[in-house]
Amino acid sequence: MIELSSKEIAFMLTNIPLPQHIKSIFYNSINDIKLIINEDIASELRELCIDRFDTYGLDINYEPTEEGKILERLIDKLFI
Amino acid sequence: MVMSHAMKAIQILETMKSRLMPAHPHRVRTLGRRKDSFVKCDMNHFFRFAILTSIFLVLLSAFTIDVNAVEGRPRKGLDPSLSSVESTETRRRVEEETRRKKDSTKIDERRKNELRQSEPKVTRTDEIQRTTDILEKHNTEFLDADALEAKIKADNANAIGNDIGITSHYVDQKINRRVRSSDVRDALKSPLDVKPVKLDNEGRPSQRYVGEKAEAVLNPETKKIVSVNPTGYKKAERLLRQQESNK
Repeated sequence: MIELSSKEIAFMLTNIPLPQHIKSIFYNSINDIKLIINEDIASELRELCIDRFDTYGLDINYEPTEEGKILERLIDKLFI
Repeated sequence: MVMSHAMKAIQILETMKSRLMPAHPHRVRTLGRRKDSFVKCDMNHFFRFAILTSIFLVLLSAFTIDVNAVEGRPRKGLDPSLSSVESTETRRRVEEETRRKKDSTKIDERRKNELRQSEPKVTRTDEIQRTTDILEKHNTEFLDADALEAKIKADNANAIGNDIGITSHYVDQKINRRVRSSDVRDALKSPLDVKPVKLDNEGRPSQRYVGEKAEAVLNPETKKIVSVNPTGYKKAERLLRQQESNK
């Protein structure tokens, strides 16, 4: 079980192309301060964050961008 | 089978009837009392009713049609071509397999829980202690950031090979995420999965190698490892299962 904050949910909803079933989970808990997700969803989200990081996570000097830093935190948080 | 049982039941009922009422076929028996009037039941009627019911059941069982047999569908969980002994064996085997699977999943979960419990929770003090240990291991002298990076590069060259370079971001992530060089080497030399090459925001190609314990992102043009992270438990399990099924 992993706890996601509303900020993290908002970030993922705006930056990562999420599948419909995850979107619906997020939209259902849009008014909640925190959302607890199970391991399967966490693993799936981690994969999506990794994909996003590979494309948008690093700048020209191979240093993490602002988005990359958030994605890295999420990748570490969603590690199971 | 059903027919023979029903016939036996009829015979028993007939015998009971003849034994209970040999001399008085119309004997009346009181079953209960309701305020003023007696509720009575004629035994003869009772036996007649019982015999008729059993005859009806016999006929019903004789003319019941097995819908599955008519439509040619196999019975649930059983092969229709198998004999009764074989089907019992198959059923037993299936039950054993399901039990074994359940046991194995329980064991897996237990192992997973044990591993989680045995994993030490990393605190800031632990991290400092670990860095100090690493520094002590490397000639017991304080190394500045450049020297430490050089040391890691040297370790990396030993583990992975001189032809593959690394970026400073890789070094940071390797330290922060506590990924071993040997795991990175395994990911590159014997990956469980290699993702297709994709271009990043700056137009540079990158390819992700997924190993059992670590994932490494390599720039195939410059041959530099760009980033690294540990492989998730579920992902590794899924890929290993896929690999085994492919074999």
